[in-house]
Amino acid sequence: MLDILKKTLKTGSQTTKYPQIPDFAPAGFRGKPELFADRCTYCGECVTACPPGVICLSEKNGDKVLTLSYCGCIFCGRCEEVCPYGAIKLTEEYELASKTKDDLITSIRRKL
Amino acid sequence: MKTEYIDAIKKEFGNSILKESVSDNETYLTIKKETIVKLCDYIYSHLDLPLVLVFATDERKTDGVFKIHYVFSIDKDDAFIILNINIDEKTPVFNSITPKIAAANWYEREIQDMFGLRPAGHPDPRRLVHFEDMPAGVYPLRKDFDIRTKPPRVEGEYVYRRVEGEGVYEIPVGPVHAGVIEPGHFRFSVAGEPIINLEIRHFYTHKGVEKLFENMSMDKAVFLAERVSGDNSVAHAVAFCQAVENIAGIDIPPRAKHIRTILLELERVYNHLGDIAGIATDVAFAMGAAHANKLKEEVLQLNEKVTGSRLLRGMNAIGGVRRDIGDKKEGILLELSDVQHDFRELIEYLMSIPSLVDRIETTGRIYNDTAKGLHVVGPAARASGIDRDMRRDHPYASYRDFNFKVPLHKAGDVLARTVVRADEVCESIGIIEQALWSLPEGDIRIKSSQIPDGFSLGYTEAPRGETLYWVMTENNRIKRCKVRDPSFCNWLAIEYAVLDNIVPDFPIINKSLSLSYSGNDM
Amino acid sequence: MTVEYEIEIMGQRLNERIKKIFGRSLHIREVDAGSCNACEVEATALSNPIYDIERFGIHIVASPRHADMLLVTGPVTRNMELALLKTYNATPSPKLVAAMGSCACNGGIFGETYATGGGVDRYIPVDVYIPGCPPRPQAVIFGIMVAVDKLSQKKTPYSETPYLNTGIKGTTRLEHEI
Repeated sequence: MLDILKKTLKTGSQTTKYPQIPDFAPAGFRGKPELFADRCTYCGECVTACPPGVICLSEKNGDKVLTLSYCGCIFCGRCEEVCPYGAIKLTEEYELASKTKDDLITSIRRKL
Repeated sequence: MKTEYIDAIKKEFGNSILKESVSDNETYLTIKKETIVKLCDYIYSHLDLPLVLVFATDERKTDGVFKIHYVFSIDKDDAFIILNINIDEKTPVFNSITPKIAAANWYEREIQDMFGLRPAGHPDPRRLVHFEDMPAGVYPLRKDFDIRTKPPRVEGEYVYRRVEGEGVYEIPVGPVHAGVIEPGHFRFSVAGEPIINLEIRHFYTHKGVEKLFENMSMDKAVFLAERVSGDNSVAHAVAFCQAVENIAGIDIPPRAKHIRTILLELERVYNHLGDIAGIATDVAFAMGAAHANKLKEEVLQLNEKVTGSRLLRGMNAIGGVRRDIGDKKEGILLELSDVQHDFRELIEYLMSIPSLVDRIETTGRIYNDTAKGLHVVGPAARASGIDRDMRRDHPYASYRDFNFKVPLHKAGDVLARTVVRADEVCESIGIIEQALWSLPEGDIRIKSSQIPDGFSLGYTEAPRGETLYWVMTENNRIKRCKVRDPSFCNWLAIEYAVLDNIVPDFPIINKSLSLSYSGNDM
Repeated sequence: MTVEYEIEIMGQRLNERIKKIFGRSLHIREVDAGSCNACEVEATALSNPIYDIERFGIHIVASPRHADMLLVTGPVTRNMELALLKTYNATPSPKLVAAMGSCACNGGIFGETYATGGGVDRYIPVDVYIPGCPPRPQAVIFGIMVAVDKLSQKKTPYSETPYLNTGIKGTTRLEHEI
């Protein structure tokens, strides 16, 4: 009984303050992927490399569109690894929950 | 060394061996299908080698036949004997070895469901992977089956084993359980409180992983391997990578080997801490559980700092590892020494509480002969007096370079399994320290674009026990990948472990075996 | 000093908001519809002393009949389909469904095969998607807050979404368009 008390007092409170105080993921964490329109050449390397196949390249109204849905994304970072131009980067953002699937899509486009 | 076994086989069964080939530590023997039962029995009973894996391949395109492979492990020589038999498509029947070797039970039923090859003489020929609503004639692992097919649901019934008698009643549990665990169905037959029979029914989480592997490129397949059983991500990924590296003849850089070893051991530490926390929870000792959970969380957060993923995902790749962790050496050492200090204190404390020890001592016993007969693996086997550990018997990564003990206990009860885990945590931390102090300089990855056609075994000792992969490649893609999670061996043991125990002790026994449903069902 | 003070004030406001939304009582039933058990590791972590979701009055309960919300993981396997539907029907309305992890959101790496369905929303209506493979416990807590916000919207319309101006980033829409 005294042991329990001693150990409890020694350990103290361990609970995180999140969400009252934001909790930042450590450096190197693989979170939300971000696309950079100015660097992308629409080569499609990331499309073939993506294991769950959530990146797709399409043409719409004469525009080339690269769409990434992080709905099914497994945050492996393969796209970042294979991209020759550094146009995809996995950020440290992890609070991605959303009420609709459409919010979970990010895309870039360029006129042909 | 290993030739002594091969010679013995040749002496006894020389004229039934059709073909022999050796690659590395694997000896492949093609056997006449009529003699397979006798030969397996000979290897198992006379040569005393454990049967570690049985699987089938569909090679109708190249050889015109299905093949069934039986893998035996020679632990003392770090070698494997792999027998295979050819099965013609027109007569899809093979002789069951289950009456002689109980460990083959589920493998043969799995082959029956996935390939449509019938094990003649199997004592329990019911379906295993498929449920009763799957139409007859659906064999997903045959090459002519399209993965996107959606078989219709049909009427059918699954017959459970019945136990009858005065006062005997059944308790069905699952598939959705009370705790946060995976789905599976348990059917207890009880007379009063003691359990007189338990039948488990799994494969609720069957996702068709082995079919998904087929035709996948190597890079993507590593990520799929990580997701076969989530909390054993590294063990699965490393086993897969080693199989492919073996085929391609890639010797990964020593630094990568060390990093893999560190990751494998970090995984073991957090899994074992979680299991100990689970046992404390199940005996309603909340304070112990809270402390063990806190330690587990500390290791998970360390994982995230080191690799970017709490479950150590995304670190392995064919040819090495994707990230260097050398710069975080100090942090890992510091954190782990804290964890070890706290953990020692906690275990000492837990083991001094009579109500806890009383509850887990002699509970859920798996006797040595049961464990051996069913080929139980991992900490559960080592708690039942089976001295096997892939890290020592078939060294991979850089385990050859380190000193560690393999804890062994004989009682086979929940207490013994807990103590084995506790000892392993300390050993693991020791291995990580050795690996960090001797981390060699150099590259962490060899890039390889082309993997030649071939096949090989890959294996690791996951926190739950030996994990085996058998990979066959073709045109730089996977032709067949057989995955064997340790849980696939250990699930049947629970049916024996619970006998004569009371129903309220089932959760503790289940937790002490710490089995993965997803790894089993795939 | 000022930054810390701001964070503290923000935290207090958020705290009140959380209490108001949750009413100190949200009961969650976790359903594994074929996940790889990584999401279970994180869902278990939610009730450990570090994350301790009980501090918000969120409880993980043993039966769907006690639950306000289902936390579903996994791509929904053929063999779990019926069990999931039964669980959903057993949950009293109004109920929330959160799809936890990439498999539950969209099938993830398992996609759609003979044995899996490719996402929870093909079987039952989903209120919130929590991507991640697996999501960190913090991300799950965030997801639960988004879900509960939706519930409160169902009852009385909320003019503003919570968690804006709190330092916590919300969801992202189509951006970087040029």
